Amino acid sequence: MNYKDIPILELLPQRPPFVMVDCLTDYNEKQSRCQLTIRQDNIFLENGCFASVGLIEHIAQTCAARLGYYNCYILKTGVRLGFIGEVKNLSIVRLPREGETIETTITVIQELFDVTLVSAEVRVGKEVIATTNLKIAQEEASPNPSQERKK
Amino acid sequence: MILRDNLFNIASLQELDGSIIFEVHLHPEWPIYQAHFPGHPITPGVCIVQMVQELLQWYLQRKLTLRQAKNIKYVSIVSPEEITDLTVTFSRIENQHDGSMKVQAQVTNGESLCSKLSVTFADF
Repeated sequence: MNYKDIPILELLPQRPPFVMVDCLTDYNEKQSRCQLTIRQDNIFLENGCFASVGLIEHIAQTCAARLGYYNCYILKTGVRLGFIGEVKNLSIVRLPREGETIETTITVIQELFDVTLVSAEVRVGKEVIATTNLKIAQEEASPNPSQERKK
Repeated sequence: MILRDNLFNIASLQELDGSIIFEVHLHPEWPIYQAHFPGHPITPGVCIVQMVQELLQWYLQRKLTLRQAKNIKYVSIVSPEEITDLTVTFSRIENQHDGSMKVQAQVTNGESLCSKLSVTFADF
């Protein structure tokens, strides 16, 4: 299967202009990968650089694309909403610039019910520009998610 | 993406016992809420971080970039259908030798904690 050919909006609950991955390029139980080219109209672009928080969102959506693939193509259910639970040990070496393509690899450390803990590495070519651990929580497949999370 | 006066505006600023406390008001009509997520508007977690950064930039009158995060924890979801007022408290801002700044902040809605950050900003 060529993961790249799957339209990304099939895998993600986010919609433009808040979509921060172009395609899923690799998928397996342990490791997945996504790509994003930083285009001129990207909302996280500032002074020619893709902002730090854009990088975090891109990593989170790499996790979302992985979960989306699992939910849609393996479980054959549907895309579920997901949220960042925690960002830990984030280190940004440099910000990507307009026109550059970033590639992020996530490695699953632990998966427990609806919570996934991953380590992530963002590269431009061979250069590592950011690393972090991320915890992603998935909404239960419910018709009214925002109500469910109410405290 | 500039969030001040788009996603939020500053309602008040107070300095108390070494802490800097902002009251902010969220704008439910912010267009990104329709993309995140359609039918279920939720403030993106990364925008909470961006808001914290913009408040600090505004206070210090310096342009900053997030360099590191020891920890950013999201405890509860901020949906504009339920929450439009937040308190952002900076409890520690510590200048480092290399010119960066270690910052501890938390975002609350009334008594309930939304998010907690221990991060490092540098000049942009």
